Amino acid sequence: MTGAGQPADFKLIQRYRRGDPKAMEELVERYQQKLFGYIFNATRNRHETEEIYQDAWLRVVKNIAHYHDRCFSAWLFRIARNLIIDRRRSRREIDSLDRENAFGAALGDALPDAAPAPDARAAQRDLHGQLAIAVQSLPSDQREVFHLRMDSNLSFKEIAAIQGVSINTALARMQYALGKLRQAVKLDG
Amino acid sequence: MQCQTWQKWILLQASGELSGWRRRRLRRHLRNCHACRVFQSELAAIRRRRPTVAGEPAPATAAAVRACIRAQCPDAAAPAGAGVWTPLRLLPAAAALAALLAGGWMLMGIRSAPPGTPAALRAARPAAMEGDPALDMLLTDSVVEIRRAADLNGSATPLEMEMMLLEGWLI
Repeated sequence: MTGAGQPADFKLIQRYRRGDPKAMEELVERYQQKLFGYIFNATRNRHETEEIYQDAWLRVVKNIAHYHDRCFSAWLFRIARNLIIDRRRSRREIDSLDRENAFGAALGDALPDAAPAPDARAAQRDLHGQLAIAVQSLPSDQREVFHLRMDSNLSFKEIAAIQGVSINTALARMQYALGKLRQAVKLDG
Repeated sequence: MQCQTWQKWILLQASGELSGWRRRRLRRHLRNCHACRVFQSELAAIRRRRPTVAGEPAPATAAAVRACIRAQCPDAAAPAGAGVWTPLRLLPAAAALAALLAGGWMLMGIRSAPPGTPAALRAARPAAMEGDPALDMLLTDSVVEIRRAADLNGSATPLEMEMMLLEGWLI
């Protein structure tokens, strides 16, 4: 996750621990787009994404003294993932309370796993849109691997650490995801 | 090896996680396997055409994160250099430790445990702390914590670890 000429993540963490806030700002910049994109892909809600993104960094800096993992990116994304899961759980609780007022909607309708957005028909016109819809219809664990690999550019080792599974499982999930996408979208290479 | 396994290797190659000899083996396999070549090219096609997300937080969110980083920075609130670990800060503690260890050695004649171990620190602690099991536990935990911190810093020697711990006692 560190490009050529850039200090390694743990060096920046050390500098921050020694009282250099700019080191953490550099780390934020390094992961900003990847983390934001990951959260947005999971929530599909800009406002919620902003909140979770902010909370994730708040947790990072609050717990930085206790951070001993070797891989910062996996730790960071795991924090974000836990925040997303917490949100989903609390939303499910609210949904279950409001079920009678939900016009018979299924409990999971408001969750990202649900059917594509209303602009789906327009999106279906091109391959790009078809692929977007196909990705959204993947099971959540496969979709997560797909986004972490393709958008956040994380390694399978990091993805496995985030999901708490073996590398082999992460690879298998990616294979299943790609298989489904190939079926859903005709690709000409 | 089945194509399913080769395709895992293709994924690992794309993420830069495939070792040199495996890359060579995979290249040889790809020359002879049409299905795996198709998988590889489709992977590339999906990567090119995947939906992209405009991924940047709003300026207000970015500013809030920056503010939080500065507020939570370990030494942001303290006077400059106060919280920074420097050998200079440990000088008084080092002198006290040296005196304590020298006294202990003179009394005991020999040193019974290697430096940096809980046993060595137990032997070097002030007399008032003896016989307290809670302190013993704290001591062992402290050694583990300091070792972990030392591993992260990659610098502290067992003696420096003792000095850090003793500094805690003296404070």
